[in-house]
Order: sequence, then structure tokens, then C-alpha cells
Amino acid sequence: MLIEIAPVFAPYLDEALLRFSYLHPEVEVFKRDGCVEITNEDPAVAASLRHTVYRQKIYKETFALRQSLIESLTG
Amino acid sequence: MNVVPLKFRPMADDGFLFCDDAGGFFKSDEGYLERYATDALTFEDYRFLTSNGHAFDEGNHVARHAFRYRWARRFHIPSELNYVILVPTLRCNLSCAYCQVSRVNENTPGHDWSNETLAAVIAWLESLSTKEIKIEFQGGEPLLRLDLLEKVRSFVRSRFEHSSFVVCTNLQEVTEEAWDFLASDDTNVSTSLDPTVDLHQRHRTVGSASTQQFLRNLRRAVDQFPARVSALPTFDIDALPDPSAVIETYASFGLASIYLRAVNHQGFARKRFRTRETLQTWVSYVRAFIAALIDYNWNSESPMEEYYFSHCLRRVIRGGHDAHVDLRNPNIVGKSYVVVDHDGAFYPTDEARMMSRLGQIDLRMGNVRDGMDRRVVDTVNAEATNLFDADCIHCPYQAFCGVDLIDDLSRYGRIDLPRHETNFCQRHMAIFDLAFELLYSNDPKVRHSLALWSGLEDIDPTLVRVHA
Ligand code: SF4
Repeated sequence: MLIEIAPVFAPYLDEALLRFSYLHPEVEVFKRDGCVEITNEDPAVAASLRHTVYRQKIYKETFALRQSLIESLTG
Repeated sequence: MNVVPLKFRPMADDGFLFCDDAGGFFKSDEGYLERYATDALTFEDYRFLTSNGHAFDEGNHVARHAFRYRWARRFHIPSELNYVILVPTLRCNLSCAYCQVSRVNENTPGHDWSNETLAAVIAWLESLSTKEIKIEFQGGEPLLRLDLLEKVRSFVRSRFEHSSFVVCTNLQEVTEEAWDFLASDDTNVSTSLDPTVDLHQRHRTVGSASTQQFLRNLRRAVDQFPARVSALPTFDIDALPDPSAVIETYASFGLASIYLRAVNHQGFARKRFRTRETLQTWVSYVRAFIAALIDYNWNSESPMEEYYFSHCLRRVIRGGHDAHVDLRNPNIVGKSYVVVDHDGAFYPTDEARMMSRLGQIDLRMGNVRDGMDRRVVDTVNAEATNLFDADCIHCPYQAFCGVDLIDDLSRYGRIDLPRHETNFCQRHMAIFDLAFELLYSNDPKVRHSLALWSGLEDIDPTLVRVHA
């Protein structure tokens, strides 16, 4: 199955795919131009991949804010 | 505008749950998720996020401070040592099939505190700096050494400004002297009452005369000091009774709290009962049990709770619910509470004591004679938070959840397994899924029970917000 990945996610895609492979070791993943191909036809698995990409972007983009809040909490 | 990290998870019915690090949450849909992930939030989105405490302007120090405060409330800061579990004897007058603790037969010598150990325990208690202390007597069957319990209690009462006691007893043989001991207002009784009387007999008391003796003692305890008696069942995953039968058993003794505990993987019980590959069965049972309690509470004047679900629910609703030692974040062991074994050895938890006896890992922290040695335990403690865990940082339940490294060690012999593969994670994922499913339910029966369990008058709509 081919899953389209918007350009806004490109900087986070490699890390997200690494994480997805760790969560779904049974699924093979191939990075293609502007999309990702997986060896699974289950829409839930495709959704999981998209969500993993979203999560990676959110995590990375909010990392500095989270870190500054943790630092201010832990002194 | 700063939007704090929002972690999300699809909900069972539809939509997505979004939670922040401080435990703020709301429900929304796929459209919102797409806008959030692709930097396309609308004015309305920002307005909602700000009003629900997930976003604040760069210069808005009050909102930032409020968020930090809510987040800080989610952390458990261990107090000074003020909770001590004492094991004055390993001897027991029962031989329960799923005994979780190490025990020996009633007549076996050499498994009680010696006079010298008692003196060392007292001297060590004397050295503690806390003003307030809770002492839990465990065993074996601690009432077999009532003399030791009396000596410790009378010393502790005179040494500390506030003290309270728990006797974890099987209530099988209770002498009149023991009843007198248990009658004090500062002393609570914690006993075992299996899911049904039949199961109690099968796994614990064995003969009907012993069963009747236990039931008479339990009846006397709940009649004499109802507010100070609690009972814990143990469930065999291959013989799960109808939830209503369990509720009936507990209600018949006026016990309002049931703690669903499957046979513990830690300790000796796992040799006789299945404790692996049981999670799905267990999770389904917990769901059925909570549904049965919701029905029961709707028609009953004496409501009942499932202890652990209620605890998790309260942790969702507000930070600071850290009374349960297995669900804390960070979960620092060997600091605010310790176990003193029958030979005077310190352990960080009772489960750690079991693991040492099974020869899995030695988590001893010194002993009452030579003092405390936290080196091994502090190595474990360095990993005792979910704050930076590679799985937990993406999980919406992170703020409510915790870690239980002793459980990980016991099951897997290591603490670095991917979190989502652990029993701890899968169990808590299921509990929090259920908690949120119910929190967003409109069924008046569900709302009635949730309000009772969470200590709220009602589930306020502002608590369970939905963003369209
Ligand atoms: S242990 Fe599991 S359920 Fe708990 S926060 Fe981590 S990922 Fe979530």
C-alpha cells in the first residue's frame, strides 16, 4: 500500500519510519518519492504509520518548549 | 502562541483523545488532528486550546506558570521514610495455594525475629527522623507473634507524634488477646477474602470447618470495627467468577472496595497458577467487572468501587493521587517506605523481597544491624520515571501513568524492554482507555458511578471537553 506523505513531514520521516518499524516489525517499509510503501493492506496499519509521522513531528517541534518547562520544574 | 505538546490516541467509538504533559485533555476529531499536525490550526482551534490550558502567548507568564504548576502536581516527590513494613515471622497457619509471600509452616523454627533482631528493629525505628509513621505487620501470619507486635506498637506509639498500624492477617486463628490488640483505633486490619466463599475454601482454608472459622472471625471484625477492616481477593485467571457473585460476597460483609488482583507474577504463586499470556482475559474481565459495578451502584444505597480503577480515574482527574506505591511517577523505591524481613534485611518493596527469595535478583538494601545500603536500588531508581521513555513520550496517558521497574524485573529480568511490550504498559493502556471511554459516556448510570469513584459530585462537562 502507498501512503502519501505531505512535504511538511519530510524532516521527520526517517525517524518516524524507524520508530514505526520498531512498533510493527512484521511490516516492511520503503521510502518512495513523496510517499511510503508498506507491505500491508490493513487501513489501521496505514493510519498507525501516519500517526507515527505526526507524533514524531509534534515531538520534535515541541521539544524545546517541553525541555524548558521541565528545566523550570526541576530547577 | 505556544501550544504545549499534545499526545493523541484514537478512541474506541470514534474521534481522538488529546492529552498534554500536565494531564489536561479533550476529545476531538481527525480534522483537528490533521490541522494540528500540519500547522494549519484555525483561530477557533487556538481559542479552544487557550481556554483549555494547552496554549499560551509567549509573554503570558501566568498561563505558563499555571501549566507548570499542573505538571508539577503530576510528579511524585518521595517523602522521608515514614512507612515501614515489618515481617516479624515467616511462619503461617495456612498454606494458601496462591500465597504471594514466602512462608514456612507454623512449627518451623528459625523464621521469627530473634530478641536481638527485635532490639535492632527498635533501635533503627528510634533513629528515624519522621514525626509521623505507619507500620504494617506482614508475614507469614503476624498474629502468631503477637508479643512482637505489641512490643513494636507500644514503642512506636511512644516514639512518634502520630502513628498508625496495619495488621495483614488471614484472620484464621484470632485469640482474645489478638482481638484486644486489633480493637485499638490506630490499628487497621487487612485480610484476604477470595472472590467467592467457595474459592476461598478451595485455595486457602481447604476444609469447611476452617472456612467457617475464618468467616466468623471476619464477621466479628467487620461488626466490631467496620471502618478499619479491608479485604483483598486474589483471582485465578482460569477460574474467574461472575462479577456479581464477587460483589455479593463483599457486600455481605459491608466491604465497599474490591481490588481486582490476579495471582501475582512476583513470588511463589506463579509456580501453581498461570500468570503469563493472561492479559487479554484479564482486561476483558476488568471491563465486565466495572460494568457490573456500574449497574450495582445505580440501584444500591451502599456503593462499591474497584480500588485500582478508581485510583487510576482519580489520577486522570487530578494530580497528586500517589497513595498507591505501584503507580507513581517517578516511582522511587526504598526511600519513603521499606520492608524489614524476618531476618532484619531491608528490601525496597515486598515484591523485591520475593524476587530475592526466588533467587532472581538480590535487591537487599542492608539490614537493621549494619544500616541501609541503597547502592543497588539507586541504580534501579535512576530509571524510575516515564518522563523520557521513548514510548511514553508519545502516549497520551503519560501524565497519569507511572513505572513499576520491580514488576519489569520480575517478569522479564530487565528494565529496558520497549515499554509497549510490557505487561505494565498494556494493562495501564487498557485501564486508561476504559477510564476515558467512560468519562465521555452520556449514560447516567456511568456518570453516577464515576462521580462516586472520583469523589466529585458530578462529571462536570468542563472536565470532559470536546473540540469540534
Ligand atoms: S507505560 Fe504505556 S500506558 Fe503508561 S505512559 Fe507509558 S506508553 Fe503509556
